[in-house]
Amino acid sequence: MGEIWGVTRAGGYANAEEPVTSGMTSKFRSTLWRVLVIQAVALAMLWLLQSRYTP
Amino acid sequence: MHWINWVIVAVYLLIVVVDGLRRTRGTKDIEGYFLANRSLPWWAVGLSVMATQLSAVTLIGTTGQGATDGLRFVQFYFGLPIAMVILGVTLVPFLHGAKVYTAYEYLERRFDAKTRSLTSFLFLLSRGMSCGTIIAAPAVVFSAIFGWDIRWSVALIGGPTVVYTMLGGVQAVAWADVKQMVLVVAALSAIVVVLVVNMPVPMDDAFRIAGATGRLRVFDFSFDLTKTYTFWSGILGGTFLMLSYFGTDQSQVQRYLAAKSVDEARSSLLMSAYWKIPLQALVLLVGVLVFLFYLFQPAPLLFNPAHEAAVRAAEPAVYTALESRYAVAIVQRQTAARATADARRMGDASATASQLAQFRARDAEVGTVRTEALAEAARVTGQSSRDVNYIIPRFVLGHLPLGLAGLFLAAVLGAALSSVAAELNSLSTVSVIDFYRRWVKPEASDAHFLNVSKISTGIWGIFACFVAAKAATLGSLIEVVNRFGSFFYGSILGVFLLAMIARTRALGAFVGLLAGMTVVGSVSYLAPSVAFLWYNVIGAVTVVVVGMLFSLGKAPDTRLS
Repeated sequence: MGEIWGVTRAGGYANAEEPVTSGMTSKFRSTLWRVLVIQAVALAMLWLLQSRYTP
Repeated sequence: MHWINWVIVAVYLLIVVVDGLRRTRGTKDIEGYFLANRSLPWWAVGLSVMATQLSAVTLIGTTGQGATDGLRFVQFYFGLPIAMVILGVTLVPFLHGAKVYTAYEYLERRFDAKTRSLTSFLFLLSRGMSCGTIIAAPAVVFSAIFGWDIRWSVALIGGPTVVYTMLGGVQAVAWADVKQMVLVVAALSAIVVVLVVNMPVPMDDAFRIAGATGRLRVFDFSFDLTKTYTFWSGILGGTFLMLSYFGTDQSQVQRYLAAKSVDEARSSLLMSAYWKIPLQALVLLVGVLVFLFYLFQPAPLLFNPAHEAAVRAAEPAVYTALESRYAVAIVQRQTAARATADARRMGDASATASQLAQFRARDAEVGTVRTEALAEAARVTGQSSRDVNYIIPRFVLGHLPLGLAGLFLAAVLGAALSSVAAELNSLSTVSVIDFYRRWVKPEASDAHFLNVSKISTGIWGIFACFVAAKAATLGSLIEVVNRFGSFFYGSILGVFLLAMIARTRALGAFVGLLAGMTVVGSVSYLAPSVAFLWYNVIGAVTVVVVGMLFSLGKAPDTRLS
């Protein structure tokens, strides 16, 4: 994933004092999906509130 | 206010300060003082990040904004989850893995000392001033509501904050934030319950009335650069602003640098991604419910009691006439609101539509009288008469049950304390790490730096209180300082973006930073109607483009080899 963002080890990571976990781990990916679902639900509820009560 | 409410406030402040003092025991070096020995769990860091961003102004100003303007301000936060995900993949592993104390320290490793010093200087400049205004904004409200001298209000907020931040460091700050978030959510939820239970019409009818005034309109899809809150400014401008704020502002970065690991740091940011929009919607909804409450209860003509007293004393006849017109308009609006609810209950669609039109006309009349009263207040006092920040405090003190008002006031004070504490802690970190240790005394012992850090926190605290007392008497200064930060937020983000691109060089970063600030300053001067959220996009894009141009065809920096 780091490479996708144009981020390479010759860039920022080169100066890290210890190896870092870059990109998406499976744990992070599943958390990300949960974030997307919660945001979609929150926006859908706001949309419903607006469309039901705003003339 | 009843003494029991004051006891609740005093007990909360005491708990925060005592807990802060208790945590000094675990702070023996600067890594403990500034980064809690990188030992904090993700949920504590996540709550701390959210608490830092949720200031007293959010609780009293944003709820007031909900009452006058409705829910559309929530669009401002639409970019936040996107920004958190991007940061989780990019900057967080960079900064946490580099084992730095400050975000700017990393820029020296990647580029050079002058880029580090310029960005950290810009941080000190903007945050040093804004820290004072964070104290000033609620202090002004407390002074007006309780009739205190402004210096006492500043001391009430600044005093405990300086003590526990100075002695306890980031440990005290983070754990106080955890308590504060719990308190805020509990207080807001309790207020919602009280408002819903006391609503004289069914909630469905109440929401229909709020909807008729446009207060439940959330989404504005117009692509207008001069409008501050639209879907697009939130998604695009908001994403860049949140990337800058959470990715490059030391007051936020320091939170997740204190997390146990990169994964815990990422999870802490995703906690904000989960909950920020629902929490902000809740804050604004409280405001909408307070608006509905005042449809059926007598509402003050001017919510700022100091301005009310000033106009009443200076122009008694004018104010009495305005009050009489206001009382009539309020009764007519209330009648129209009840008639709308009745028509809906009868299932008569055309009568409902006609009553809604009546209600809107009456609401406009109420607005007209208020506008005249506010203009009178501005003329008499010579100050801005905008009273959005006073709507919720007046409601809380006048209508909430015993104990709940104290709980809310404690939450407001807690919010002020946690925002100020985070700023003081980060200001001290940058002063000591990026300036004192870098340029003045690089070889001193850890114990020496710990002492200097505590002294630095105290000095910044006194400075912030001094600025707050001055800013409070110059109302417009608060707005100026708040806008000031947005001039270079985007440009600093641009430098960090450059740092992640492989072939960029120190010269490009430094020139790009100067170019970004120049372009944002020019846009602000030549096109003042452009909404400030777009400054972040303009600044970041300019820095990246100019920085890459100045890095073209150059050999990589030797420091990267």
